[in-house]
Amino acid sequence: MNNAEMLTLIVSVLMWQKHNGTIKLYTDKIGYAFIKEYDLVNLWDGIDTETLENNDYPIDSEVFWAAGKLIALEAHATPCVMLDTDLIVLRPISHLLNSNSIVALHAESLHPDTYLNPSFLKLQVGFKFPAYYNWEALPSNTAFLYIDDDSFKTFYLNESKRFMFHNEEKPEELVSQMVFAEQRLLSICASYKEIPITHLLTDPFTLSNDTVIHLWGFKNLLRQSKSVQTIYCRQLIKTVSNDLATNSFFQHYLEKQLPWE
Amino acid sequence: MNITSDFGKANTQIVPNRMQHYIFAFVQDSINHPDNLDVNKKWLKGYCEVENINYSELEFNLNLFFELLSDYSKSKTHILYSFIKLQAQYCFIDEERFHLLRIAPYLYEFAYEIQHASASSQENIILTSSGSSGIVGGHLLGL
Repeated sequence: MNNAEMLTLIVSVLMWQKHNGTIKLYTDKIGYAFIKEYDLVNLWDGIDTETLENNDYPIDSEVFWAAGKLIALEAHATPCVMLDTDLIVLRPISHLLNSNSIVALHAESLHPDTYLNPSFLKLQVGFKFPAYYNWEALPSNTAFLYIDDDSFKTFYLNESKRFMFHNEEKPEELVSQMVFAEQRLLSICASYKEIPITHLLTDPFTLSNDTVIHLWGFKNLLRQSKSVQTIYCRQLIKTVSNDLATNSFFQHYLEKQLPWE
Repeated sequence: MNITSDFGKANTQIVPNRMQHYIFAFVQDSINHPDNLDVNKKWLKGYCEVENINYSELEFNLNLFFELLSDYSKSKTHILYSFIKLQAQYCFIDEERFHLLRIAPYLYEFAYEIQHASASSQENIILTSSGSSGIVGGHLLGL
């Protein structure tokens, strides 16, 4: 993980703690060793490695590379927010969450290369999609996901697990299967249960967004360019410096990590 | 470094207009004649000392600017262009002068890139998300 992604992870946690409450990391032993190596163990309010380490679901982790998120979501009591490590919430949002049952980051279009026609999805032998699935429901980006109701969470995750379990045929690319299981199924399940999904953003790049920073695909450029990393870090620190000026963890991290020192 | 120091603030050096002209000329010449860069830097350093400008900080920002230009020459994307334009400000090159540098416009279309952004958290995906800044909320970072 480069400095820019590391800084984003740290700022994501600290800004959530500042404005919205406690935050817990779900990771495995390898993830824990990583954060221990980088002296980040005390960043979160709690760390759970047991949920993922003890999980024996029959899920191909290469195809379903974000399944760990869903396993963690299953373990965590509602109401809760699931937050990607490359997403920063800059201000309090509890007023948005309290008045909605499901809040995701933004809707996504049904681009056929990403959200495949169901006839092209890889399925385990004998699997059939329920007739009630609404294939017109727009998927939701779940880099941020709030669910307040445990029964809906269980329903959504059960549908997702049903699709992922023993689904071993390798697709040609490693996108469509996972985004269906996580992002498209959320909307399909919400549509079936007639629960509206509220989005933090009307579209991902709207300039009316004053709340969220999400690296998303920008991570690829960060990984290619050290100069972009440096400038991004500078801009991010500038943006959050007022909020985190007295945060000792943040100060300590910057003293260790500033690029020209 | 305390995060309330200069790093966390806007560029605080006050650079007179004649110095800004000089820096612009330095950048323009260094782009057009890369072999002149080292010599140009020596002259720039001397000028900074006369004008009491922090040369180390300026050199750092200029190096970043040139590195971005190099990245941009390989992949003309909107997001890299945004970074170059932002970094120019840290080199005391205002918008008017920046356009005089005639950096070729980016090639990638906005719509194509965001349509392929959905699953970019997967390591192997090479398609990027690039809209007004390429980062969701990039405008909040000054991009």
